[in-house]
Amino acid sequence: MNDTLLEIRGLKKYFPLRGGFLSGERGTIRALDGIDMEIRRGETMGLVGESGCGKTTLGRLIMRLEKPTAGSIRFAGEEILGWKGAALKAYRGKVQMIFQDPYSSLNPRKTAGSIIGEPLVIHDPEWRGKRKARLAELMSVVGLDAEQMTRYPHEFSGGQRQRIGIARALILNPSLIVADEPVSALDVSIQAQILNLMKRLQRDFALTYLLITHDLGVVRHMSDRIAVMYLGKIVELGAAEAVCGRPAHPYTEALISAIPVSDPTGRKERVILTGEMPSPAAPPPGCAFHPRCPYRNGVCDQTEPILHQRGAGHWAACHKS
Amino acid sequence: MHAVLEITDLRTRFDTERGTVRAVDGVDLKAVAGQTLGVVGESGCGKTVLALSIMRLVPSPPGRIVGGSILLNGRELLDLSAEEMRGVRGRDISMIFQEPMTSLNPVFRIGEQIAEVLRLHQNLERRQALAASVEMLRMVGIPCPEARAKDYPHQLSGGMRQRVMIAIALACRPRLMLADEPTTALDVTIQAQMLDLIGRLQSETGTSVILITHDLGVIAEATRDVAVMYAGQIVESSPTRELFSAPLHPYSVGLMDSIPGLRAQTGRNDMLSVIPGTVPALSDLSAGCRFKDRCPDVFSNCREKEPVITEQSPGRFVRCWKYGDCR
Repeated sequence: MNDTLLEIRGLKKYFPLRGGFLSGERGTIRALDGIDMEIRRGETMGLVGESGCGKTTLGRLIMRLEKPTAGSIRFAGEEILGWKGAALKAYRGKVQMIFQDPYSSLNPRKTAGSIIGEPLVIHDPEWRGKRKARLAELMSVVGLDAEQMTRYPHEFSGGQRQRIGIARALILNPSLIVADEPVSALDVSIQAQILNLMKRLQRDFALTYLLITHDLGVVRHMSDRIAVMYLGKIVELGAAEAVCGRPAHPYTEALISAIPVSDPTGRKERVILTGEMPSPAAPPPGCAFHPRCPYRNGVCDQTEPILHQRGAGHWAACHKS
Repeated sequence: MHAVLEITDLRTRFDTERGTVRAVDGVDLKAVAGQTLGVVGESGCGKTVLALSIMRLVPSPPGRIVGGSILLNGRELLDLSAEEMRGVRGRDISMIFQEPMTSLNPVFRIGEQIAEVLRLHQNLERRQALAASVEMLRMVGIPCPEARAKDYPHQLSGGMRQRVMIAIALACRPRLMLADEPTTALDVTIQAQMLDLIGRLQSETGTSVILITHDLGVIAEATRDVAVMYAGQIVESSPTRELFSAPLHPYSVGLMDSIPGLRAQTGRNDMLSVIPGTVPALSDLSAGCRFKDRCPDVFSNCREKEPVITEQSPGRFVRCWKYGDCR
């Protein structure tokens, strides 16, 4: 398949849960528990879920910042998990990350220019000749002034810092960008500027995005397809219009009903979930969502539902049909 | 309607190395008994300083309240001594904060922390106060309240901690509760639970709530009236429904249009409309309207004179020359 850029199969990541000093392992946290997903060239795949659902861990595994417990990740048809040395370095040039917090993800002691240019210095042996021109080009692409190259991060506003982070991610001409909550730390009027910038860059540079966020409104606006995660598993996956318009999983339905409505007079009946997400160290039996689910029935605490197809390319893991 | 809290021309300043910051600059606000008033604005607009000013908790120095009046049921809070003000906090006005981990004391059991308010303001005995605190935990929907009262804050999840904060805030049945970003640190499904809880408790206790947030969704969901703050001032205030159906101030319009899916359904290929530029530094304001550099409707008047807030239609106030008579 030529148009699949990233293919994830059966991906698991368990973290050992240690007791205290000398007491050994007490159990495992199942941060990711069997993820299957593919990301197509040029699309935006939105990954939503609440804190602790494993969405950031998935991003870190794709970046090869963590080693998975099991499963496979194929990039442009090639398995990446065994890669080391030069091959891994080359891969990391093609897959870049935008981080959530533009305040802590930039080194305060480096200038904007050296932050943006660092990947080039690391990856391109002939960087000396081209660094300056490339910096100026990228800064103007993300809407910064090339004269600001010599300034330090504290001299920029939050939105400008996120632009620096984006320029750094772009300098090596990557094909995949993993954006982990890229606008969550920003004010709403600045969020819109950054989201627009990301869309424009995608068009101009044929980028593929994996957009990780808890904000379904942002995901719906940005994504071609959406995957909803709950407790280390994908519970629903499909085209953005299908997932948001006809959610097939009760958890997706609850997330959508938590999105602000434009008209306070037309407040829809909200699905308010009771309880909280269980600990991934002790997931409930059967469907992990059943303790909070308004539609649960007899089978839900017995058998775990598997993803099955609800429409063209629309999958959900729920016993309710 | 009966106003519990009436703020007129409140001004709070901070003296800094870069000059005087006018964090709250001429704010008028009225909270009606038993209702929820929303205050919405982006970071640095002065909404938290406004709440701290009402509680008289502005750190001084560098901050000071330089003018205006805050009447709580007709009583001037700005004239009270520090001693008298301590009697007001927790009993008449209480506050819940954004971060439930840092606002609870990690070394005391949560039952004790609720009991403290009751012992201080209602002179209950320790045992009575502890029993009452278990009742409060039950009221905010914490399962097995007798057992949970003996927990320490770190043993609870974020949502549970925020419930404890609400229990502390409502323990003395205050007339007014200030909630500063009460749901921002929480997940969306927990946020929905919290807004539901605050609304339910409010109708049970008759407490007025001032809900401070940057999230217009929360405003739409939970408030009856709303004030939009920008750069230390209220630029628009109106019933929530009317603000959402027809915002008046260009800043309110821009704010709503910049949120994906809030006003218009945006398609996959649409760009969001954007408020250009950033908020001006409050230490260095030039003449005229504070929004002039970002405003799509700016005209000559805006650069010369600061607009005053005027009543556009009954109950709808806006601070903009577009609606003034000097056009």
